[in-house]
Amino acid sequence: MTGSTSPNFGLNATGTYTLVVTATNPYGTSSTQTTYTIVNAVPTPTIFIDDPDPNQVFEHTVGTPALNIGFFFTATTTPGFTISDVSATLDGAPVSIDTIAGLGSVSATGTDSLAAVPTGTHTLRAYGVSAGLPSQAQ
Amino acid sequence: MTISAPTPNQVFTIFPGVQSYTQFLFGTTSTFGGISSLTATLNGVPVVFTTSDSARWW
Repeated sequence: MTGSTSPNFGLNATGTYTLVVTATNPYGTSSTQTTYTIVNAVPTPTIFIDDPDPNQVFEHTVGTPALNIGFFFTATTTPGFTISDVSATLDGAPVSIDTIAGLGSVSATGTDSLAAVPTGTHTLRAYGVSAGLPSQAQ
Repeated sequence: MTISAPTPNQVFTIFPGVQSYTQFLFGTTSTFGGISSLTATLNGVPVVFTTSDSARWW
């Protein structure tokens, strides 16, 4: 003898919930109970800078044209959600992103080139937004 | 009498705004009686089971 059914409930608040299910026979003389855990989590967008590599060194020879350094990054969120925006900064200042692809889907990319990068150490940060929740990588 | 699915102590991860569906399977090896009810609580609060299969429970 078997049966199946489905509980129907909404969880608006994030957090961890304990679901206890009890099956009972018609006489109430026998029952079994099982416990489950439900984690209501927020989507977690992740950003990965594919290019350049972390701590990559670029050499510029005096007297030659300034360096243009290409960059490419990917923002990916939890299945069922979408990336709504991507952006990037160099040393804290916004940089333009020539090509943005995939907005409105689970994964989006940003591609462009950093023009005339001066000598020194620089920090490139990439950002993605999913369900209003920002995430970043550097 | 057993609840065979989902696996006991299973952890479900869900996300706000995304519907998630889980089917509970339960049964008994008893020849008589069968199962009359399946109830649940969520953090101690009763949960409503929506089903059209109640007539098949036993």
